[in-house]
Amino acid sequence: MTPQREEPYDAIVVGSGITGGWAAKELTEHGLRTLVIERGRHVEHGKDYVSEWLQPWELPHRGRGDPALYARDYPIQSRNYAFGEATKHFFVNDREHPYAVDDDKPFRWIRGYQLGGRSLIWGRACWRWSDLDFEANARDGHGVDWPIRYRDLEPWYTHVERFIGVAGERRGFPHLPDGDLLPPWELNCAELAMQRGIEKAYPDRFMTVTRVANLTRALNGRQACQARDQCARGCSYGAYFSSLSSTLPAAQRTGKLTIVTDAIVDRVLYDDRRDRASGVRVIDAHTGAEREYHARLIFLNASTFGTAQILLNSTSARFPTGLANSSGEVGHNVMDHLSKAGARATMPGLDDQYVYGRRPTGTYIPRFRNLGAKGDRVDFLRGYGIQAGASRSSWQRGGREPGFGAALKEELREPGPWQVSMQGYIECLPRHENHADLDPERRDRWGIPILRLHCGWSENERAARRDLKQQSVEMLEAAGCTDVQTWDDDAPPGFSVHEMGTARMGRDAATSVLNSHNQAHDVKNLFITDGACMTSSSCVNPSETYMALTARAVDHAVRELNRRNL
Amino acid sequence: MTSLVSCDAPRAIVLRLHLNDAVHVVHLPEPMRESSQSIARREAIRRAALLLGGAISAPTLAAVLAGCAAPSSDGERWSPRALTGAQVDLVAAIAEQIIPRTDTPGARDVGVHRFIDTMLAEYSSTEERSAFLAGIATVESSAMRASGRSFVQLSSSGQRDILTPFDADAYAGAARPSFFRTMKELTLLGYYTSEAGATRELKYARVPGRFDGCVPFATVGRAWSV
Repeated sequence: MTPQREEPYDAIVVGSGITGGWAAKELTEHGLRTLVIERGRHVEHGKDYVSEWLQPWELPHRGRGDPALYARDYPIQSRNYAFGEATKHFFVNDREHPYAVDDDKPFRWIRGYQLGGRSLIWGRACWRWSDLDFEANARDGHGVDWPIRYRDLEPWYTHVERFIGVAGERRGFPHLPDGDLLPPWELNCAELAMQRGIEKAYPDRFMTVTRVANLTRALNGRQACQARDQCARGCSYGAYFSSLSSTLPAAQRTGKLTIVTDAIVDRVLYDDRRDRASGVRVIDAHTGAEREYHARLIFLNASTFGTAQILLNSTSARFPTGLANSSGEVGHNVMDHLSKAGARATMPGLDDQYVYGRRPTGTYIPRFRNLGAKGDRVDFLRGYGIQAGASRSSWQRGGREPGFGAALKEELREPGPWQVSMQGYIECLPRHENHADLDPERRDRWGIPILRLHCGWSENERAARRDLKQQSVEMLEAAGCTDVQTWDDDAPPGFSVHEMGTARMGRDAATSVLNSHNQAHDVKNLFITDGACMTSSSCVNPSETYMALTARAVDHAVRELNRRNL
Repeated sequence: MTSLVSCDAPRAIVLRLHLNDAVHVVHLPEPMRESSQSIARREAIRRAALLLGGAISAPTLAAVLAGCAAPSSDGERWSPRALTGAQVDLVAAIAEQIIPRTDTPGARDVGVHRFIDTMLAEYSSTEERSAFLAGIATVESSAMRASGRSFVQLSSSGQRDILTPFDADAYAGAARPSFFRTMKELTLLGYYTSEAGATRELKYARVPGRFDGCVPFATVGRAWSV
């Protein structure tokens, strides 16, 4: 019998975002005394949603914001679609949190440093991945093979969906598996017309309402979504999934949870003698004072780049290039989805049709390229999904056309034509050269080496983008749209906020960082379940997969702990 | 703990109640907001008490709701920061031409000129501000040239005649940035995001409560402002 440990914690979770919250919930529900460490400020569910009830006329710049402030403090964050006058307090100040990029390789790193992290401001789309994704690397030889398949994750997707609540339609797509879904949100009339047109013209293409973590009915003590479509301000109803509305309260209820905020983990402590991670060192965000926390189990959920930064900074005699980095893959194989391109059009007619309420999501056309069917092969690998939607323009169109006075006012009482849009999300191949490393010279205000990001698209992603634009045009025309035009922001990586891959899972410790249970090959009691763990990127939104992997990893970690293997 | 989040009396009352670690949100449905403040208050108290099963007394709730004083309206002093007094009058007159008072309030009624002054002071760059001021000066000089009178002294139809070529010009050349287009966009933004513009001229559901994908336009009646 070893003597009773003095440390009050069994497990440490670094980060409180989507996966940190899940790790905390699962660990505490297994009875482990768990410490969650968040680098940002405390945010209390409800009370700290300071802009939630502000009406349009109560925003000083009516939503336009302050360009001088944005240019000075938010040059990157202000490019995110959810950033605005009413949400900017949930995004980092770029000036205070620098990172470096190569001159010819911009990267838009979107971050939220607060309790709940980016779970407060995420897009909430929830899809299961399938073996089309988990077998992709093995099939075409890019990256390394995933050490798991869909059947390994299937029960954990169900586990996640039952807790978070995902509204969506069961369509039986083989490559986008149905799950445990709440009633779907409705399509509007123009989207129904698009759906009919596309599915009639293309027997192998489908359109469905996006599966989204906004409750269409009350669930687990959270209230149903009120269709305000302002999620990123925070939601007192708890109607969308976030760590603050869902996982952290569940962890709190066990009595096993401790949360520390304003504490920046700069390294994981490694005990050479026991060959285990022994804890973490943190820097107080306000005083700069250093302190340590110790536990038997360490979960890194600091985000794809945050986790990589901690690992690379955790050097020791045993791990001179960073903890758990004997493969040399830590920081490498960064992926994001290439988006910000597609097509727009007008759907004629339906002038007497309108909507009530503001649906908090759009619609989705699942991947139709390279599914293995005859005729769908193209000159690039893998594929893309398309986020689509339709809405009637309102008073804003008045500024785009001549006319003023009572006639203009009268005209703007009615909504304008139905405008439809398509935006692709393109799978990105895992490539070693896309990587993050530590700047040898520049440090942040806490003395931590800043990250340098070296990431760009490959020709494969660009080829898929060309196809995406062409197919979007063809589908819109097939659906009866007019004024069809492509659009392309030529956006750098980062904009999709799906960055992943810096500590990939794999079967071989020589070429990957984590095993099939998100456990570091090199350090048995170290688990990484945020986006860093991803072996390939799919074209499908990744957050639900992160959550399922987290719950599965905790299950494994607790078993191993009980078997005294950690 | 009970805390009041927003009390936009008399139109809406939203309560957030912290009780036993749970957060309850109580808001009045749309029809209630048309009723008087005191009725709305009583209704909010009744609903909250029902929801909480009497866990918080009605007097406690009433005390919280006492914070729901009617917001102070246009009485407060205001002085422009980017415009002179004469320029404020000119901007207000142009804005009123763009969105005039009809059976609903117009741009002047909702203070679009104040909003434009704020945007010029806080939102526009120095160059944009200069271009805007130069633009309204050309409106004034156009009025003087045509009639020998200041724009604000002209009749409504006289003002309209002055602005008509500005409007045509603004949408004729694609590349050239146009003062009048900026003026129009700011007026529309200021008007349709004002309380009267958003909720009386157009329709606004503060808390829709649900989403219906296909409803006849006639059941809504006006465009949604948001």
